[in-house]
Amino acid sequence: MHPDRATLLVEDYLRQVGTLLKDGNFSSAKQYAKANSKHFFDEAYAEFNLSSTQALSF
Amino acid sequence: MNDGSPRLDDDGDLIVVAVDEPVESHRARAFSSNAWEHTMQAVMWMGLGVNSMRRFSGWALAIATTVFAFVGYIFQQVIADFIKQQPQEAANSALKFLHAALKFLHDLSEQTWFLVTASFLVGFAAGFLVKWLLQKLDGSRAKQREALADERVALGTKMVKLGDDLDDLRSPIQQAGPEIRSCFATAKRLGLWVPISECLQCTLIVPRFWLKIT
Repeated sequence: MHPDRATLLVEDYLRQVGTLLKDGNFSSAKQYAKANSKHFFDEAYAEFNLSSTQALSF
Repeated sequence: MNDGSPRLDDDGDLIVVAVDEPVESHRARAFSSNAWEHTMQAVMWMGLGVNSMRRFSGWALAIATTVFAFVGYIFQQVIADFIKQQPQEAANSALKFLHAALKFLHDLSEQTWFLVTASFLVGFAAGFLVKWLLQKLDGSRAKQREALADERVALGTKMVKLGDDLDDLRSPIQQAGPEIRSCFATAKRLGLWVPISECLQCTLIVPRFWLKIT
């Protein structure tokens, strides 16, 4: 995995959730963050054999 | 009779027929629509509809009127008892004045016309008071909702701009770390899921990826 993967995940979160918030779709932004973004981050955790707790307690 | 299948002419072309619908059916539909609206308005007026503010207002007014009537009744009984207990020829002039004033009020309260007028005026005043209170409450709530919506839009704008700015940076996570953490903290406060939670002041999870890789 390229180091840019981490940046891409954050970028995707900022852009997608940000656009929905900017357009006034708070529910959709909440849904996207909870479902899609969380899924992407969990995948990345799994790829590096990290639990979210480990990652958060860094 | 039309059985629902398309009608074709001798060449097999589809025949389109314009049907004049009787005006009466339009009138009937309009009437039924109006009747439905009136029914819904009546249901809402009774407090059974979806307008919770109006329902709350009705309940508040009814409770306030009941409480006021109850307090008024008790007050009347207390005054009557006081007048019976205190003799007319009291030594104290202040007490004598109080007795006379209370007796006047008591006599007045036994007049039917006074009770009706007083009830009407008190109900009117209570209605205005409740309406004013509810409008004030609703106004402050509306302002809060507006402020929250503005904050969400501002956060969205900031996030989109930050997302675009990350492309121009060589080490985006390190360079824009504070801004990202700030965005995530605000998003979390607004109830959104964020990639970091309780350790917002420590670091992002992303450097962890970075460490694993390098």
